Amino acid sequence: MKNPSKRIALYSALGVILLMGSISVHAQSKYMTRNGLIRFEAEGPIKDDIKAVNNQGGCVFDAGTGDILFKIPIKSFVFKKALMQEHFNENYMESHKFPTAELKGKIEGYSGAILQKSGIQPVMVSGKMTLHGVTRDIRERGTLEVKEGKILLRSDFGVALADYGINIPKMVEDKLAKVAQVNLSIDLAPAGQ
Amino acid sequence: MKNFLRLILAIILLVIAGFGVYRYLWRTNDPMNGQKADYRVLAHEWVEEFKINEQAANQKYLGRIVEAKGVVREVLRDSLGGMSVILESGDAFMGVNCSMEPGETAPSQGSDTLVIRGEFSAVTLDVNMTRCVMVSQSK
Repeated sequence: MKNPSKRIALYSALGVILLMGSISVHAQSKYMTRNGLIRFEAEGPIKDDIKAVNNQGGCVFDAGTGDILFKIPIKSFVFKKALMQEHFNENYMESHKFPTAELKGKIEGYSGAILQKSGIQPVMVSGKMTLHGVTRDIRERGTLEVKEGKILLRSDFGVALADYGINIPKMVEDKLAKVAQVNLSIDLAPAGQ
Repeated sequence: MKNFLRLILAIILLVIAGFGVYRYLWRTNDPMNGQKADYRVLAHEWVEEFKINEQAANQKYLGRIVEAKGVVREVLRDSLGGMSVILESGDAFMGVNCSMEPGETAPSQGSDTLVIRGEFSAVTLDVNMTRCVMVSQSK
């Protein structure tokens, strides 16, 4: 986020989510994590172990409204091969220009009652995802589970690289999938703990 | 005889070149332990720098090796066992988030001062560094 006004807008959004506890229906309605796990795999027909892990996803969830804000640093994706990591950052994600990806959304039909249920509950998240400087509407399935005072969010979904202006050179199109499979694993604890 | 020596030399050069290409394609990330820091910062001052002008700070630090000094706010583990050390910044919401290299020892929490070296990746809720190693821990 290069524009300072966008930065201020993000802090305002975070401020609204984190500080306006008085309008919430729950005593503790704000949950957050700073080590959300994101994994992706983009293996094409020719296998080349194109997968990476990132454990620096920052997420704030409002358990009163179902609003989610999730932001990840692109350069924190770690690959086994250094060359692959360099190509990912320099040629595909252009992380020097677009250092973060962001998902701003909401659990559809959300009610705080879901937090009283035991076991894994299916949820649908809709909102906007910004990746490689391109913002698109998304609607993806996931699950929510309340366990030991934490809210666990999980989701697996595909990201079509072309949708986000990520071009695959002809030379490597057999190695790289057109749709990357993304796995999110976010364990949210009450904010301030 | 001359042709035979040329052939041997060509084979040796081919093997060396092949080995070089293999090493280049399959190399792993350079260990952070052996790298020199581009910047040395205090955690609370560093976070403040981003709060004042994120754009300028991003341009300055993105992809650079940074050594950050501060005390531990918390040590986190993800579901794959990966460790993150959060350095105190004086800001309730924002710290310096250091994703540690596998095999790094968890620091003791408390008033110890740590110096952690890593590559700055971006600001999210925190100022993030990746592939981090512990440089020192002192009272």
